[in-house]
Amino acid sequence: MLFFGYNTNMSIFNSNQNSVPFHPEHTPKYYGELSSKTVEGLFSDCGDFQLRKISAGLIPHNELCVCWIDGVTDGGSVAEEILRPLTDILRNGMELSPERLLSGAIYSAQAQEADDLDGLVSAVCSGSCAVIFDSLKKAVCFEVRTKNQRNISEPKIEKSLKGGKDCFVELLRTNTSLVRRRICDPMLKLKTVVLGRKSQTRAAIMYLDGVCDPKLVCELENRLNAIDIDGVLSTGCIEEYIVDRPKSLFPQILHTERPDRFSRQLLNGRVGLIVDGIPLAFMLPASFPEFMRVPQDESQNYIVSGMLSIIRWAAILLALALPAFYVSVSMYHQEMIPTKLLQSIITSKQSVPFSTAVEVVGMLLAFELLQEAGLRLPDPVSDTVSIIGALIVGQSAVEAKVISPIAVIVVATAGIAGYAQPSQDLSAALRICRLVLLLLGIAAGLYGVSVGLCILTWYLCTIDSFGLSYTAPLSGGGVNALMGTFLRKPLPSDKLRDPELDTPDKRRQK
Amino acid sequence: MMRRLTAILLALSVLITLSGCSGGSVYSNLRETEELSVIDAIGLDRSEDGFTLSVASGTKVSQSADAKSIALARERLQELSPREQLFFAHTKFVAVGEKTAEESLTPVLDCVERSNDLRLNTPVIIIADDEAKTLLTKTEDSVSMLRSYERECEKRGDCRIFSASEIISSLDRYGFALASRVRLKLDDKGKVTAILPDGYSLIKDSRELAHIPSKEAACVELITNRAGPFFTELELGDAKAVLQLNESKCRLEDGVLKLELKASLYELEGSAKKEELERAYSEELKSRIEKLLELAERTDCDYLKLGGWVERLRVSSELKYGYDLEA
Repeated sequence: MLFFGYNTNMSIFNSNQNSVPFHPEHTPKYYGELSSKTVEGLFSDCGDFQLRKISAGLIPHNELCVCWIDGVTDGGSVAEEILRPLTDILRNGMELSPERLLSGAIYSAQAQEADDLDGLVSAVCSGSCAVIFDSLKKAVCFEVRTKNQRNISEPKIEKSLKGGKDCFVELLRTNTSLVRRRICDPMLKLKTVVLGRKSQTRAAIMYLDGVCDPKLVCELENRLNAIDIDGVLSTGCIEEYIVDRPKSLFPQILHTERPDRFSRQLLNGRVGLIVDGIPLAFMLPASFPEFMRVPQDESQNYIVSGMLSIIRWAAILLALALPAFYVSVSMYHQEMIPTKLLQSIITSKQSVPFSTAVEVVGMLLAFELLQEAGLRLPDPVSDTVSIIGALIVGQSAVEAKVISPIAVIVVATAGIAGYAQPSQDLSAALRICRLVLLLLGIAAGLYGVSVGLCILTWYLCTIDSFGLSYTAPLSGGGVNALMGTFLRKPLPSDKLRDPELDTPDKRRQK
Repeated sequence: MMRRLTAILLALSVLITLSGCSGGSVYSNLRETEELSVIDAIGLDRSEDGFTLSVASGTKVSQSADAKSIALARERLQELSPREQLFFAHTKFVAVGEKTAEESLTPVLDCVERSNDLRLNTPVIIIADDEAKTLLTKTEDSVSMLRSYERECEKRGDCRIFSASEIISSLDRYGFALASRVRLKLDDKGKVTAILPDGYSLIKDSRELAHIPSKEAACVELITNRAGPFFTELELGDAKAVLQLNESKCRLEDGVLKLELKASLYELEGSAKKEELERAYSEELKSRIEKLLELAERTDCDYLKLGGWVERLRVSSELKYGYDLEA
């Protein structure tokens, strides 16, 4: 039941946590007056913090402090775009005030005034250069963020032959621009939220006004604002806090590295979320059939895409139930196996010392081990590990009659079918379910497998993702919705948005 | 937590024990595949003690055992191969010796019906003038031979192989049934070299009552509208002809059994007119059908399913030949 996330009070996890007192987030975070001295004190022992005092020699006490964080802020831009105009102004004996700086004396696209330490620290940490007026206890922050970022490259996970060749990177603004380029409409709204007490990670909620359900946006915003953690550094930090069933095995948020897929989902009426530092975008609500779709579905002929979709659905069954079915049938229901196949299995297993159950469980665990080893190693080495694992160990094991060839075929087929899934999260969930089904198959044959599949189906039906049933449109959508899950209509005749999303604007074309 | 865990454990234990899949339950299905010996065909004969059960497993050496009952014979066979568990669920044929068929088929059919592993749709074949043991123990691959024979029967369509369920349901409903009958061709060393069709056995009161030869058996299929393209040899004075049935339709009209046939000339030795061929074909089939009707009347078995009154009626057959004589 741990997998299904029903135990809300797991004593194993909570016993130590309860002894540590709760500490609420303080507002404001930093106390004291806004001055260069306070700021310097805050950033003491920060080697990358730079603070420079600029004084106009003729005017006494007219001293300015400019501070920034090296690396986050571009030093050259600070010198050229901020320090040079500042010194020019001072040299000319002109009076400096925050208003003058905000009104265009400094060559910066973005400028904002900071009245308190919180605002200043946040701006400086996120790549701004702050000009502090000690006398006025004010500061003006100019965005001169460094351009250090990974280039926009081809998608590595969600490859498409005919789709776009760009993918999201770690920088929020670059990612939002990739989406904005695809949807050139002011109705594409972007709400920024800041997550993480320490990390102060910016995240952008993107949606199409008039297409997306406003309640959905509101709900997402509320759930994001409720996140109170130190830092948002990985996808889990978002997913596990905002989904309806955090302990569930199954993924409840779609994510993509492709801006075109993200844009398509926005056009469908979903809400998107892009987080700074994460080269993936989230889309919600999510349903199980949505995880089975791939971006190139729309780039291909609808018949071809339908056929591939059916193959992917069949692959789910294979990945999930093939080992369990094989073990059940070969241990309990041999009468179901065609005679020639049974004789062939018997012949291949004659000299194998292990029972079918041990063989398949062992092979599955070895498969997981091989996969994990491949992931942890650099690419060239992981290829070698795969070759050693699959060819040398597998073949040797069969030749040494430690395992039977049919067990290798079954486990390998299930593994390959698992890789055919577009979502690796779903594939991982299926791997766990496969193991559970296998154990049920070992314990109670096909009866156990059937019971396991029934429980799994029931469980999937109980999950909701932001108000959308996880099995939609399979559940309660009628025959058309059922067909639409597996097959795609020709685009000119697919006039309506997905009905299960209940969007205010239901029509996507005339 | 503990309550939930207990509930899960209880549910699992019920699931396992009720399914009959665990090794500890009264009836367990748990079998290791590699320990199975798949039985392809079984043969049953009457012996002095009781029964002789013969089994054939692919090309492996066949075995047989005598015992007072079939169940005991099965146990004895199992004792003969302690390393492997005899697995009867894949039995493709049940062969019965003629002597057994003459005495009673009840034990055989009972064995098939009540067994947990044998399937009811398993074909039952009676071995004419011989024992089932001969077929299973004196053949290199009896199952392949039987399969090949089955395929040929389906192809020709002049003889069917009835399954155990067909025989049982017919016996249960009408008190009689037809069963396929084959004859074994043996070489000088006593080895079976071929399986030849030998028509049907008419079973009544679970015993073989009469034998329907192959030629007449084809007409049973003709009347029941299941006939295939079987050949009929005709002799017209000096000429010899072989006709192949192309199409047939049998129906009852005004108490008269009417057969509409289309056949084509397959072989012709000598010369014969079309009308002569038609007449000869008609007479040949008519004589065969009359024999069938006579048998049905004599045995009081409506195995042609025509109704009791039909057998006493005149048979008229209308023959229509196909014109593809060059074929």
